[in-house]
Amino acid sequence: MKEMKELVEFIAKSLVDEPDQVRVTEVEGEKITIIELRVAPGDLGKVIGKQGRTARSIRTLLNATATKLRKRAVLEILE
Amino acid sequence: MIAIEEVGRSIEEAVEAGLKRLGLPRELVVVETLEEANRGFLGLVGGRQARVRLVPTQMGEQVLHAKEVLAGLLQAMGVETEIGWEELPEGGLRLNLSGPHAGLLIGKHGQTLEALQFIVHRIVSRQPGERLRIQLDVEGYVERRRQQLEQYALRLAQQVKSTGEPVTLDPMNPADRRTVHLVLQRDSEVRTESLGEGLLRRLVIAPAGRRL
Repeated sequence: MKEMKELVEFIAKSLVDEPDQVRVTEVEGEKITIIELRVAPGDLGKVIGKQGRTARSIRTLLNATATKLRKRAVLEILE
Repeated sequence: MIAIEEVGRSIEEAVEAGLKRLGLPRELVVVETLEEANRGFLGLVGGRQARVRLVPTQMGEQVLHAKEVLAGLLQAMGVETEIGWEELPEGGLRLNLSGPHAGLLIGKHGQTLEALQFIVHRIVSRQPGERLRIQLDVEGYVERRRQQLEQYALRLAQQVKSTGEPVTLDPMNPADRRTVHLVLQRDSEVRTESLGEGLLRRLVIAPAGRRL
């Protein structure tokens, strides 16, 4: 469980200009865990990337981690 | 800049120990001698150890940084992996992963590996300095896949030549498209071109004389 949140936090903090502003929360549902990511407004592009490629890559890694834990997880990037 | 100091009974010993600590080969560090070894009186009193400073070259620093980023990611994913590396002949760095989680790290059609590579590259290239090409591989997967893709491309080229009709491939990532372009470059009877944007960019193989 801890891994999914940690992973998103690690990646986001490594990508942005203001790592202190990175907030990750985990909302655990019955079947799906929602990982919510908030970053400083100016850093939004850094975690989304051109044509959403960075966000897509983070989701792929999150899915791999979730699979290992026999869970399902989705990433929501909040403004 | 990451530089370390190391001591030893001789300069060579100190350098050796330092390289081991950094995990870098000799050619990726600059060695400064701080103090020569001195055996002292009969090797009993007043002896002094050799002291050296090892400063990674730019490539050395990039290797260390890329490894550190990758190790951090894998740890966050809860995956235990050995990380080896080599310099690519065409420039750039290849990081090789091995361990019990190989399948997980590759993912469906190599998707997870590609995502990992993309994120590592993103993070590493935030540092100022020369852009470094970073390739990730899990137990030879990338090489095997490249060979398969080359065979596939050559078969399609044959088909294009015999029918005279262009063939459009499924959307592929930039690395895979590059592989196909490169392998068919040598064939003067066909030409290749990528059409479309982003995720939907597709490669077309056409007879050399024909317009797309």
